[in-house]
Amino acid sequence: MSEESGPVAAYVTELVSTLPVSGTSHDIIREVRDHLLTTAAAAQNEGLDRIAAEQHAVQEFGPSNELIADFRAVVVATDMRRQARRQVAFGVLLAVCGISVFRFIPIWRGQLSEMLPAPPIAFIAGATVLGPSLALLRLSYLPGVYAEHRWRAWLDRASGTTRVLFIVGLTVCAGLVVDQIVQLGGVPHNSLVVGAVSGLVFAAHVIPLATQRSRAHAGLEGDVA
Amino acid sequence: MWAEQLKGHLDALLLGVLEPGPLHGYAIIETLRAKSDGAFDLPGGTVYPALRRLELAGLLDGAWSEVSGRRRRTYRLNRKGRAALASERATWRGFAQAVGSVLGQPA
Repeated sequence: MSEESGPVAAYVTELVSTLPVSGTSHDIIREVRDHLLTTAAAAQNEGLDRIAAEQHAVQEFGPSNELIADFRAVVVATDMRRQARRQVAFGVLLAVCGISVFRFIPIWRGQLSEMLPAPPIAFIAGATVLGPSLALLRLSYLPGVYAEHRWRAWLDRASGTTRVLFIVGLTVCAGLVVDQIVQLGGVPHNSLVVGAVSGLVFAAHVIPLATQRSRAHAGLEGDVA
Repeated sequence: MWAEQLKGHLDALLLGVLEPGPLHGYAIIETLRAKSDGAFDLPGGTVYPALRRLELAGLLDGAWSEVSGRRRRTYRLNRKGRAALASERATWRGFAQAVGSVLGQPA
C-alpha cells in the first residue's frame, strides 16, 4: 500500500521532525511506520478505504505528542550507550598503544631499566578519554536513565561533555603517542602536530560529525516519501 | 481497557507474551489482545517504547528480520529476560494470592 500522502505519512513526518536525528530514531520510525501500515492494511481488508484505514491506524497508535517523550528517552539512552561503547573501545586501544610505546618498547630495547612513574599521557587519557567514557557507559545501563524523563536533559549534557573531553583527549594523546613513536625510531623531528591531527581524525570517526548527521536525516526523510 | 490496572505490569506481560518465541511488535499486540480475550487492547504507542526499554534493560534482544516478505523488527526473550519473567511471575502469584484471600470470599 502506498502512503505517499495521507495520515500515516503525516504521522511519520511528525515523528521525523521531532525525534533526534540518529540511527536509533531511524529504526524506531521504520518500526512505527511498518506497524501503522500493517494496521491500516488490516482495516482496509475489513472494508475501510485507504484514508479511513490509515486514520484508524494512527488513532489506534496514539497521539504522537504523547509518544515523543518516551521515544526520545529511548533514543538518547541507546545513542549514549553506543557512543560510550565506541569511546571505551578507542580508550582501550589508546591505553594499549600508550603502554607499548612509553613502557614495553623502551624496556624491550633496553632504554628503560627501572620502573618510572606513569607518563603524563596516562593521566590525560584517564581524565579525558577512558574515565568519562566508562562513566558514561555505566550511566547508560542505569534503568532510571531511559525510564524517567527527568534525567534526559542531564544525560544530554553528560553525553556532550564526554564527547568534547574525548575529542580533546584523543587529539592530545595521539599527538604524544605518535611523537614518542617517532622518537623511538630515532627521527629528529617533532611530530606532535602530525599525531594530534591523526587523533582528531580518529575522534571524528568515533563521534558522528555534522555531515553524517545530515545524511542520517536525509535517510529518514527518504523513508517518509 | 484497564489502563490504570495495567500500569506496572506491562513489562511482565510483554515478557510473558514473548516466552514461547520471538515476535514482531504488531504480533505482540495481537497476541496480548487474544490471550486476554480483548481485555488488554493496547495502543502501539504504549507497547513500542516499552519494548525498546526492555531491550535497553537487556531483557529482550531485538533484530531486523524478514517476516512474510517484509523487514520487521522481532523481539526475543533472552536468558536475563527469562529470569526476570520468572521473578515477575512469582511476585504476581504471591500478590494475587494475597489479594484473593482478602477479596475472594464475600462477608
